[in-house]
Amino acid sequence: MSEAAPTGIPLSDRRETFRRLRERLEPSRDPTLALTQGYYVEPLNPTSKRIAVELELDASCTQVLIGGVGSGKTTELLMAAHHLRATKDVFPVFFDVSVRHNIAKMAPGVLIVQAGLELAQLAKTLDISDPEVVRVSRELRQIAGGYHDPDPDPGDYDEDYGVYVPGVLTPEDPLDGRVVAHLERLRVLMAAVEPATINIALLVDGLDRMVDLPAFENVVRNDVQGLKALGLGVVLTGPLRAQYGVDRTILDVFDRFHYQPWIDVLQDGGAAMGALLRRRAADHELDEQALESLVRFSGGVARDLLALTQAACVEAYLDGSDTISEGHANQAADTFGRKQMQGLRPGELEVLDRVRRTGQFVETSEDDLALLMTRRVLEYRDAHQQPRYVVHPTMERFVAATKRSSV
Amino acid sequence: LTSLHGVTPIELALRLDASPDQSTYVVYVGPAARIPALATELLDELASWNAGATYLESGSAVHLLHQSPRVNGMLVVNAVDYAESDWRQLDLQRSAFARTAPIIFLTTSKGFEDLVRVAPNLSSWIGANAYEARPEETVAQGKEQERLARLASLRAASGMTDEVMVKAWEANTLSNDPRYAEWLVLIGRGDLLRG
Repeated sequence: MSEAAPTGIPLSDRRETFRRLRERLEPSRDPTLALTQGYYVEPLNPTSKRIAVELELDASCTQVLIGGVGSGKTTELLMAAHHLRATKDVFPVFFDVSVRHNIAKMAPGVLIVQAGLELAQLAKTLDISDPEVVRVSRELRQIAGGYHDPDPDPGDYDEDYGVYVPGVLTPEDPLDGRVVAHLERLRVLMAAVEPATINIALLVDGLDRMVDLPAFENVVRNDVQGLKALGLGVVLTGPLRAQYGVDRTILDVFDRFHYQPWIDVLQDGGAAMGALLRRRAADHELDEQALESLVRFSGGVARDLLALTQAACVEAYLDGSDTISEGHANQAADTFGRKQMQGLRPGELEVLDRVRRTGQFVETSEDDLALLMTRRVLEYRDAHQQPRYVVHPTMERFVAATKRSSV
Repeated sequence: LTSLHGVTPIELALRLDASPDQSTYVVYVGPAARIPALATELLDELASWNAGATYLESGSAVHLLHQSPRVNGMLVVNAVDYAESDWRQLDLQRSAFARTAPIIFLTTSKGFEDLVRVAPNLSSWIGANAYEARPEETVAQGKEQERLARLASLRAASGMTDEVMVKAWEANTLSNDPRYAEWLVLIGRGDLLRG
């Protein structure tokens, strides 16, 4: 191999060079890898530290983390686990509910059974062979995966008792019966692993994708409250829509509520986003103007920043260039913005144009909320939690052009 | 004004070539009647680049969730029949079908609009990897321009002329980069590939 490209990288090496760079920019890779490879850049006032501090002060507190798609909630949960491991007072157990379970079918007990499976795995790792622990672990696996019951319970309804007359007193928010039985199993596992773990905090990912808010509330009122009663700390990611309108009352059930905002790159967040990118792409791979453009186009959405840079990387590769330049960044933003524009209805375009011109946005309908969920509208919060709204920067020119063409 | 960026199956394969071992999510949009032909072209192109892919006719998200873990490597999914509920289900269960190789969804404009509207998480993983198949007449018109542009890119990237590359190929001094094969085809010397 003797031939060389004008800029110095041989043709076949060039492909490998770009593949490695693109891999570092992969937005859909496991965030754990990004942390272990040193790509994490701590934001100002990181949510992960606030979560960890709350658990250090009250090991059985319940917390919910809400934020937009791609804002880095999973990464902050993982970092909270990292901080807790360093303190040694609280033992973090992280899991993603949606890996084992279809979250469209959430029911009371799902969270507790998954927490039980995690603790059973921990007991196994710790070589705990107590027969009671083995029995409970097996039961939990059966409850999770299903089993054949050779002697089904004929039911607790017996006609000999006559007509049921409800009592006068109604206890407040009684836990679902299945939840109580699962909690007893967890109690056995907790006692078994306690010498090694002291206080356990469950860091639960995946519930932010739930769209059925009554089902989410059911999980919170049964599983989360039940786990807290056992003395476990619980932190979970919740759906973005839970913080708007009447649904917001769900959040009051938690001891603490954290909001993970998109980063306002036009205020004070641009440097942090630039640093995040620089960790993954060196000067000779990504020039400074391209970096600035990509940060601006990302709108402060970490995942979009990586996706845009990855797309710009492919443009540079196809262009025969060894460095991602501003032109490649603009091409990536164009492709990204076109995707974001797909399927918009006339009413949504009106809203977007108003946000673009005035910065005003009021979430009054499902369609309005959908604009936030799909990151067509981005919300930032200042130090006083006052919101500011913008149209996703990759869409701005398309929204303006569409509006002009319809006049 | 806002149609997706148009690419041919060849161009899409070239883009995928930059990330064969990554969990990239890609959408390729075309008319329903053209999807089988686009799939064939894409698979042929990927095969010629030694980046083989598995084709899956998927009638539903449930089917894909069941099949996806059984397939290693790149997966091309005909998702023309997906309804909103299918995209919604994939959105909720993305963690369950996380892969270590690209997955390419072939769908219609309507299908992609549904995806963007009801599957915000999946849409965010797709990022900028959403393309539209160029209309056939445009492809025919643009092919010559495309050929010349591609040749210019290969010459620039390698620093070689066509003649120098052909001599190096005949002397067997080039690496096994598949773009040399593409280059030979583009200059009408595909006969050398059989040697």
